[in-house]
Amino acid sequence: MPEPEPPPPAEEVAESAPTARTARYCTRCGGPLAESTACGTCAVRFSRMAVRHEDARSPLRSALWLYFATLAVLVGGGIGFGLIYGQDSATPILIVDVLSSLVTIVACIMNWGRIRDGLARVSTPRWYAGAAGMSIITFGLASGVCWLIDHFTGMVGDGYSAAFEHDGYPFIVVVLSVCVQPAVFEELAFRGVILSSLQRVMENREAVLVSALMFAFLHLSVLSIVHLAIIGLALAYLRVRTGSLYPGMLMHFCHNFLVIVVERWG
Amino acid sequence: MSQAACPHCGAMNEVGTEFCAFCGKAMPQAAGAGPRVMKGGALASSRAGQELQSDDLMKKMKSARRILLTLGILQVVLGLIVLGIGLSGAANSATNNPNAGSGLTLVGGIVAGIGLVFLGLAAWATTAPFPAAVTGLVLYVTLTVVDAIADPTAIFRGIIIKVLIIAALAKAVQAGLEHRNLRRRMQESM
Repeated sequence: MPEPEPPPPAEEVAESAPTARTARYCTRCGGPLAESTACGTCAVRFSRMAVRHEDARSPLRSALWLYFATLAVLVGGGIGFGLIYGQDSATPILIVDVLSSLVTIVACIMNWGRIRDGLARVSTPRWYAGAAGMSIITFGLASGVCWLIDHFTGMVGDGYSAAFEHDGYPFIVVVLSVCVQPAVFEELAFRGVILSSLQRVMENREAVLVSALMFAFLHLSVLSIVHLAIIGLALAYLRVRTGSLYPGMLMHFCHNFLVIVVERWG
Repeated sequence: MSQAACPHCGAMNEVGTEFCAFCGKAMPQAAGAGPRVMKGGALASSRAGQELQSDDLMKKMKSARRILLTLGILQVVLGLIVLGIGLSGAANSATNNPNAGSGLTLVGGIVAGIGLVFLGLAAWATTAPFPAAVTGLVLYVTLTVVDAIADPTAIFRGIIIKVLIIAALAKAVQAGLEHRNLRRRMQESM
């Protein structure tokens, strides 16, 4: 914003001008200046234009980096360690669990300011009950989709516990790997870092939808996209409504737990 | 800094200022009166300027939407062709494999389905080009990676096209970003 120059020394000014003068008018629009030397007429426009809109690339970059880094670990680790230990072994799964958790932790540290609130707030028991209830609905939805796929194409998944049983791991390891790890780290990643980052650059509704879609895509299962997106929407809704990451973690845990329990004993 | 005298009150102002700082009257412009060039983040204040800026907004939205729409149409068409080949059984006889047809049907169906998703994103881009473009970029790169797992030899087949598509989607994200920034600034100034 151009500041009016103070008047030059008296001898250079035309004789009608007084010796010392303060600038009184905006040089940009000719409007009268307010006391603060900001233009009285267009000062508002100037101050608004001077406000720096937060560079939208930074939160978007955080979200995309985390997504693609996790994707790289899932794919690279899955293939690489699958080749080393064999496709039937659970070891690649466990290694990828650890690596992807590390990636998420790094992202959380780098985006600490954005997720701090979500971790600090604990929400109310009512919401935890609601989360558990919602997990029954999402479990029903996921099971229904799997049944439909089986019915129409005859394709049946291997089951999440198969690899662990193959290696002889006890059930608790299955719970930790299939229920606890995704519940904690996927929530930290998608509802923590990614959703919060997207909220900086989009409307809430848009951020919720995009984070849910990214959650669905990352599971790398084309036929599951629809129900995973719905689950992602539910989890994001919990995060936005309660301000806390924990109800979503509970819902995610319950959903995955129901899946493996029914798979094993259903 | 060179100075110019105000023709009304005689006070010395910096060359190039539009209004005299001491009497508020218009200073003669060295370059002459002409269209004012809007620089950088400036918002148009005249009605004509605002209309131009709205047009600019529309152009950015259309740029993002066009990329998603093109990708969607291409994939739907490609998917339906592959689906058709699979259903016709031509693949079965060509490869002497009775399951080849159903494999192609499934792949064709999936590609067409993904194409429909991109068409949906293009429709979303009409009101919200930025989130739609981001989703499109993430989806396409993820699909490329999944495709690479399923058939590693396919990575290099068509890699140029894939790179071009990813570049186009990145451009769509950029257009969406500019659309968002411009729209926010216009809303704030109202």
